Amino acid sequence: MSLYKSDSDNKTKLFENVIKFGPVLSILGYLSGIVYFSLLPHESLIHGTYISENALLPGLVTSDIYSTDSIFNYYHFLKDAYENNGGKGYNAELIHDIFANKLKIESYTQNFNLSNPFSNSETDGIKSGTNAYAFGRAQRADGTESIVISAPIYLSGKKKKIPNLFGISQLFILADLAKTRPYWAKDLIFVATDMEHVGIQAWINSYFEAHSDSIKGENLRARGGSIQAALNLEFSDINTNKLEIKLEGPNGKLPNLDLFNTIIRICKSMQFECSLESEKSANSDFSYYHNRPPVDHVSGLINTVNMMLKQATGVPSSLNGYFLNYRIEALTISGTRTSFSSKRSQQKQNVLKTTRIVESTLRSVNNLLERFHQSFFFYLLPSSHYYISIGMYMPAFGLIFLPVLIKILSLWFEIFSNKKSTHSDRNESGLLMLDLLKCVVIKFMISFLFGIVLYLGTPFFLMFGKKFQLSPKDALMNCYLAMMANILMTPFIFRSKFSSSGNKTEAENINKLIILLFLTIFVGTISILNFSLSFFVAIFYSPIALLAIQNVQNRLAKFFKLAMMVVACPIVYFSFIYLLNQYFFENKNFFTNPGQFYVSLSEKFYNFVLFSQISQIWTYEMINLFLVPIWSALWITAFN
Amino acid sequence: MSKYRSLGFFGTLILGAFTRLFLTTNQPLRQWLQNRLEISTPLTSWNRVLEGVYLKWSLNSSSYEGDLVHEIPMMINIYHYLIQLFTNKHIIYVFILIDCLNSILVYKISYKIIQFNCIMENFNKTNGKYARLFESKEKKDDFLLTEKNFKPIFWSLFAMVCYLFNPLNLACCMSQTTVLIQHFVLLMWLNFLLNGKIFMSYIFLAIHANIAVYSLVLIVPSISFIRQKKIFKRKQIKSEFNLISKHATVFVLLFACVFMFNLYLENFNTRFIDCTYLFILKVRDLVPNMGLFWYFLTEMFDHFITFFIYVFQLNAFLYSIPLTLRLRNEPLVNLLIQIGLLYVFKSYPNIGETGLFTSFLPCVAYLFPLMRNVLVFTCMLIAGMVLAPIMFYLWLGSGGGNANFYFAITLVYSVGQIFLLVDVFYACLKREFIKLNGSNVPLNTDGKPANFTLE
Repeated sequence: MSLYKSDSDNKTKLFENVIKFGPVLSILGYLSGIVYFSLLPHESLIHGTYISENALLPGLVTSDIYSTDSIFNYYHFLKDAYENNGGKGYNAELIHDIFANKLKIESYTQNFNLSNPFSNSETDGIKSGTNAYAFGRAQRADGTESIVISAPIYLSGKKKKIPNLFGISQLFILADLAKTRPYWAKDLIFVATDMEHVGIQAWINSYFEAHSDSIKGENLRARGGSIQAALNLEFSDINTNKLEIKLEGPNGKLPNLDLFNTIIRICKSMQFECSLESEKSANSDFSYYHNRPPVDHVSGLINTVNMMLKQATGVPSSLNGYFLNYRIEALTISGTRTSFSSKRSQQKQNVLKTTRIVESTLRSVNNLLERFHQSFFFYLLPSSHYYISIGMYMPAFGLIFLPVLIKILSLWFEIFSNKKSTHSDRNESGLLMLDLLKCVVIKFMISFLFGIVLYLGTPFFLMFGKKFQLSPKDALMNCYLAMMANILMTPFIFRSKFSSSGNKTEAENINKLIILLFLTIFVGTISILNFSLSFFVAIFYSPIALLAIQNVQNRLAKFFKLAMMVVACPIVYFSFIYLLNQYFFENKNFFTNPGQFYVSLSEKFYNFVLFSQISQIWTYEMINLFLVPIWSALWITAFN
Repeated sequence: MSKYRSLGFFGTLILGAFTRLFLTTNQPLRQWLQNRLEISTPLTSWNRVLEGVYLKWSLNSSSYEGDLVHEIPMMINIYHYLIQLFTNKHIIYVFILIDCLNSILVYKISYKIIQFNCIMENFNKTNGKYARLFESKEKKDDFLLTEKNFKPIFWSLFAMVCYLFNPLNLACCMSQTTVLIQHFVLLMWLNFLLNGKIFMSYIFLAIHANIAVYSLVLIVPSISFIRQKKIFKRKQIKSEFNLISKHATVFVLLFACVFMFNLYLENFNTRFIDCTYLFILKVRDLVPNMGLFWYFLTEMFDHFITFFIYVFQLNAFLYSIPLTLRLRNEPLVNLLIQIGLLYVFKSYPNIGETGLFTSFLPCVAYLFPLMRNVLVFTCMLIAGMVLAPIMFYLWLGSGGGNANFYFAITLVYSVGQIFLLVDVFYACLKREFIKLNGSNVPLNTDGKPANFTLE
């Protein structure tokens, strides 16, 4: 023991142990993290959902909707308007007209336009649309709080737009209730939005007077109180015998779990089938006869991963997501049809039940005394009756990321113990600084330069595309890939520059340490905002980063390392996830024809970039600004 | 001054200035930073200064109307003239200029600190104080500081780089917080003190103590420094008490003069006392910041608040004398630790203050090998800085989190700073022990090697 050292013997021993058992611990931690994560939907670890907010009291009210006549009246009226005149009569004006003249409630329309940021010319990129919105003022309340019920006028279908006739008709039924019943404590705001994702954003942005570059909406002429919750209704068909709930908001935000639980409870009490979006379960019969169906491990895991994939993109799964940006808890209720029994009586029953479920949910929310604040904001759902809270899934994430943390510790210790032994050399510090400048600073400057170019480059990419007469889709994808190729080529160009003189290991260790610290900061920060994204980054980049900084002598091993690093290129990795997602969840097999996959990918990529520009989704920017530089630094390091 | 004309010095200075000028073009970033609570505290927000100037000169009423402005009258007057000279649009360039001046001062002060430490150790060595170090078995040739193994030019340049390119300082400069001007005053004090112009240094300390009451305690380490300097110039100190009382009296008189000047500027209206000094001491504004006060005081029942404010404020003043007594042989390390401690225990801390005292760490870089928790506090400080805006967003933006999220991060940040200061303190003591007793590990009474702990 020497007093010149900073650490006592105990601590030194601890560090030696870390270095000795580090590799074993890392592998063990990583594997146990994955095993633990896949065990999360198991019976022994999972928790059943429950209503945390007492005021909600789901399903305790008697419904005020007795017959389906008026629903069918509105439905057929809208249907006629849609089918005659090529669908032109079915628009926001018509809905506004019904609100204002038939139901006689306060109603307005709002015009908005979307200027496509990627369009070539100033004029043809602008599309415009009209929203209709109406206020069912609570008669005996002071109007300080409100609930929004929104429905898009058209739904996006596989081939063409589908009119949301049933959803819009439900707005009218509810508006009638809002006008005639005395028990409402909150204003009801009815919004019928045009142009799918654009209309709802225009309306919400105008409601909160938020500024957006590409979507410009008229000012709203009236407002309600503070919005407590929002329901978004999407029904492609009136023959509905199952409800699907969509949750995921922009940038990984999720609504309060209480709202979701309320709807599931109400469906249960009405004996109506209800699930998560594209929920898989082995025993679907149980889910609506039993109070709480038995746990189904495998399909639970599949559902969890499916939800995480949707959350990781940061793109909202439906229109409810935009409310979450303003702290409004919101869900989308969408109707689907599982069986084709076209009995008239059965159909009527289903229509009545569906409407009653929406009404009952509204009346539960109407009971609220304070904002949704109980229950969970961070969760994963393996099925509609069970949840995994943040306290359960975070340890899995930590275990998966453990190898990197251990490596950081051991690198740190290595650097410090080295420093002590060679400290006597006077020129050392000067030389080390030179090495650092060469090895670390330049490397990071180049890596982050790439990141900044990608972050700011989208308009330039499109400009190049126009020069070479490419469609915007191809231009964007090709330019992005070209940038990636640039990064891949960097170590060949600067090969001599990066190699350091003098004390090589020291500078290289510091370089590795900084890269790993950057990765840790990035993944750790994202894990709070968008857990799924950081999980998918961590599960691959944690072993890859360790592999990249490992010195290998064997030629085969080195080739394997570099090959893995190419796969680790963010766009390659995320395309691979997209491929698997398409294969397992959408049943599209792209393995057989890669050409079609490339076309589909570049279209998806273009839409994603466009969408993140319009709707202010930061996934693309975050990856460009941070993950690409980290990968680039790893790639350059792996080459030395 | 020829030594300052090295390429590195001007290169970094120009690069720093250009970075700042380049960042000024990013208007949204500046807007965002100006509204960050971590930077624009009630004491340093530029918007509040504008309000004060408007109230006084446009409406002819008191600046302290409405309890928004907490700058002392003297500073408000200075800002008024600055705004008149440069207009509010171009005032950012004044801030950039002051930031660059600050960085030059940081360079000069670091140079002086390192030089002083080297000379002091050399002096003690020739006086035979370190005899046991040279007798000890395990030897290290470069353990004692000399200008050869710890080059002042290099390390002070490093300190300057740390100041100019610290993201905290960049953020402060871009948001035009008046903390830069407070830094300037504080750095002028240090500069004059190190150059031996004691009266001038006390004037600046008195101004700083009027702006931020806490810096009153910095008089204790400055007296300790002056005493050390006297010893080292082989002057006889007749009576320690005389020395201390003389300097303390001068300082108190100067403090009173600055106070009276402020009072005169306000036409003997005493209202500003409540808005500045008492506002800092009573912690009336509980808007979240990176400090320790706001959360405790919002969570507390009203009738306990007075008591706990006394306890908390005592923290800021308490450590000065004991630390000075313990570190009387290392007056400059003492100075740095005390500046850091003030910034942790302040009622309205600003992240720029952490930026200032961390940029002085290269001056004590020789202590780093002896520190214990470098990784721990580095990670804590990084986590604090990165996660603070995110937790703030989760609490007040997306609504998924709550106040505890943000508070936890401010706690991590503060504890990280305290770890840093304690580690500097520990390493300094350990180094002193080695210098005086040699590097042999002493044995306990039971024959086992003793451990070096901080108790």
